[in-house]
Amino acid sequence: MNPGWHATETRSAAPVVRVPACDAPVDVSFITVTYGTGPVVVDAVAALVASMADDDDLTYEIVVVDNEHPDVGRRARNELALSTAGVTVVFPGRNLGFAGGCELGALHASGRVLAFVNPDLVVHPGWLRPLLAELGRDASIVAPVFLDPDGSVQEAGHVLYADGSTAPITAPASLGGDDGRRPDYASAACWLIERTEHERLGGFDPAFHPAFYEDVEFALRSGRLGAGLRVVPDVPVVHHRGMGTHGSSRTADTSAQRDELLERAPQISWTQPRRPDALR
Amino acid sequence: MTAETTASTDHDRRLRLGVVRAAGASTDPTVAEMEARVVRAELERRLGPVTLDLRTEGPTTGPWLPREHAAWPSDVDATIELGGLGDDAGHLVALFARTVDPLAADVRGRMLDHLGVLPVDTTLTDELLAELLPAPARPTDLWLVVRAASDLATGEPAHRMLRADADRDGDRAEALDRWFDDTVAALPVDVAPTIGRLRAEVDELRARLDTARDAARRAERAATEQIEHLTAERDSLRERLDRAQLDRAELDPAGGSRS
Repeated sequence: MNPGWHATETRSAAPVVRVPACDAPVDVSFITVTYGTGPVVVDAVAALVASMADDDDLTYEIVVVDNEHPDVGRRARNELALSTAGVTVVFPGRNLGFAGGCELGALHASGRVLAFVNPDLVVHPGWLRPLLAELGRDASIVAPVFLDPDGSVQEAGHVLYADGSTAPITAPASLGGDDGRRPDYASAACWLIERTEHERLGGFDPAFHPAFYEDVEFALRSGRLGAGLRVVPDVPVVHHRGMGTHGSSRTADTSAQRDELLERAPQISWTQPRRPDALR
Repeated sequence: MTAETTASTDHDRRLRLGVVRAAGASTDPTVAEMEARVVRAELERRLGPVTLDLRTEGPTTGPWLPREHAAWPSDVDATIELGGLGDDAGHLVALFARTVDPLAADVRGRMLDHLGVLPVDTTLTDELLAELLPAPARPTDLWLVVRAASDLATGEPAHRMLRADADRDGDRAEALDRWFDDTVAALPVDVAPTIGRLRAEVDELRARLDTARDAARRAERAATEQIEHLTAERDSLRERLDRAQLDRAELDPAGGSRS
């Protein structure tokens, strides 16, 4: 039996980005899932490596899962092979979707903490430690605040409504209190979770294949079985939405995934608020 | 089992227990982690949350530190020797299922299927296991894969124990349960505060359950009232509609267009 995937480590002769080799136990495994993603993935890896330059005492690895895209095939793998050294690239040979890609990356990761990071995300030095610190403080999952490239708040978590629809929280004031830091969920475009906790909670559910709402369900489950999700307000990261996949996903139809959520977690229809703009 | 008091207990803090792994236990770090989880789960089922210091006779294995090189912290309340389990010490992993939440196991099982790890429809060898779980295997993944394998030919004896569900094998589960019961009962520590804390937790949970039940009843009543109200409104509208249609029919018996 062969699960059909294989992993390689990039060894570009003249890399633009080099992930330092590490013999010690890995503290953080950065896991990035691509789907027809182009050069932006190299930018994301470069930003990750640069952000770790001052954190000498933290060991890390970068695992990229390059989901098969019907039009562009192994694009991210090729981009990384040309420009990087030391990145583990896993090629599943098919499209495992977002959740499946994250979990295949986790299967190849050995870090104490798993950090799921989208390829369209740009992080800055100093972003990681406040998130790691928060993991030890009554939170199973932590997420940063996402900014648009123009600096405006894209989301500081989301509100989940009774009909399964969601809305981003964009008012920083709402992050002032503890409740504000515990939204119903936050996008898994950037999540940190300890590996043992990820295992204990069960990880992402494949029922939402290929993408969307897997983070909503996992966040809800993390609250039910664990300490839930927390947004760390003083950690902003820039999210170039839609750049991480070949073709924009911003207007994707997510109704099937929403129905799946309502089926798996019917309680949200009475525990969550009604959407303010819902027709009465 | 041997247990010895090394410090007096402070009633306001967790019990701190040292646990020594049986000599000759598995050297597989994943199996060692599974055993640690089982020990924690079984002790906490009986004592509530405890702090554990794990030691082993040999080199560091998973979360177990070498007994020779890692002294007990000064505030350890008592120590437990897993060697006292005799031949059953290696059977601890058969209780691993008790440490896994059923919902989490269901999600993980479906994900491993999605990834092509499951089903394992051939004999599971060490090579195949390393291919299916390439990074150091997580205990739950190992448990799911080993249990799913149609046949087993790995070199790790504990894998065979993983396939045995101790809760179905009544004798083994009973023997292990009895050993933990006896061990906890013989611990030279005062467990009364723990029992008191657990009772308080039960009371609190009961109170929360009552509150939730009341809220659910109120919500159900409100929903019923709303349904009745809306039903009445619908009936009224239907009646008005019927009347309007009748009026229209009387005004225009032919029912056709005026134009």
